[in-house]
Amino acid sequence: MIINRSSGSRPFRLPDNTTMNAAPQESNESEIVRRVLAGETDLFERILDAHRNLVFGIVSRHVPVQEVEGVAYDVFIEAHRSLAKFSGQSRLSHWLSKIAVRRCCDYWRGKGRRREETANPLDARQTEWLERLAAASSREEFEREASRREAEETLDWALGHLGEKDRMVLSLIHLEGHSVAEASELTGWSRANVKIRSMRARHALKKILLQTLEKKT
Amino acid sequence: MKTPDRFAPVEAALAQAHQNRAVPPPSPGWQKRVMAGLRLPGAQAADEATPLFVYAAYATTALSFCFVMTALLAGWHQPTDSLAWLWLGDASSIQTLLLTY
Repeated sequence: MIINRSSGSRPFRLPDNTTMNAAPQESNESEIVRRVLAGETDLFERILDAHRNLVFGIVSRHVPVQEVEGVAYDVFIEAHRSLAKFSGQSRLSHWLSKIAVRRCCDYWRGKGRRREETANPLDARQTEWLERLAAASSREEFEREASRREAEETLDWALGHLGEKDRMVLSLIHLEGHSVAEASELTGWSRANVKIRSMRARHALKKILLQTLEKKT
Repeated sequence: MKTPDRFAPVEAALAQAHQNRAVPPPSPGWQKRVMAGLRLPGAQAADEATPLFVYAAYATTALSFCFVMTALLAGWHQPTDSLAWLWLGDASSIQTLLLTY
């Protein structure tokens, strides 16, 4: 199976030209943070340069593409405003990841459940894609179907049925392969809460998609 | 014979689609907009001071505690002898106090 459910540390996938090493050294980070807090606001641009791709990478997987810039903007504004809370015990990239995940969750909370999307059934093209995928008999066939545009459309449609917290937990654990502990840290929710939500959200997703398949057959 | 899980390939494909989502590059003016946003009031990086209402809440709690403890110790068992009942607003005890003293 393609989904990685390993419990080990699994950083966010970064855009191709960026690695975690691109972030400033920890000591430099602390120094920059200290100076920004002392009033040298322009230095924040160095943090922005170093972590912009990381934040865009996270946000683009959780909000619609046309909203990515706006949410990423909010992430950095919030990071700047609460910079004094950055303890320096973890890396700045990790701290920013947490802010980004929570901001994405806030985005969906603000938007509310997209009822118009939820109310509409999958269109015929996407339903056919689901059927072809469920019937795929070879790896090649599966790969071909999985890379089609319908995959993302169906994913967005299915996630539209979930509340913002379930959606976030499901994405982090089942779609990105983070462990419960990692998801708990990123979201700030207890492990038990994350575990229960993740099971419930996956069950809901399964029910929604299988019902669609069964209706057709 | 085990029933094939129809959801497993769907879930795997959705995970792949999720991982493959395109990451849009920031537009040319985005970074400048962020830097401009940092200078707006309310976005300043600073140690956030504890709001005044938090201190007010602490003070109210402490005063309430002192008041109740005083009322209890000063003569809960003998209402007519105690000013505590005056504080509590018991009209009859006010009358009693006035008559007594």
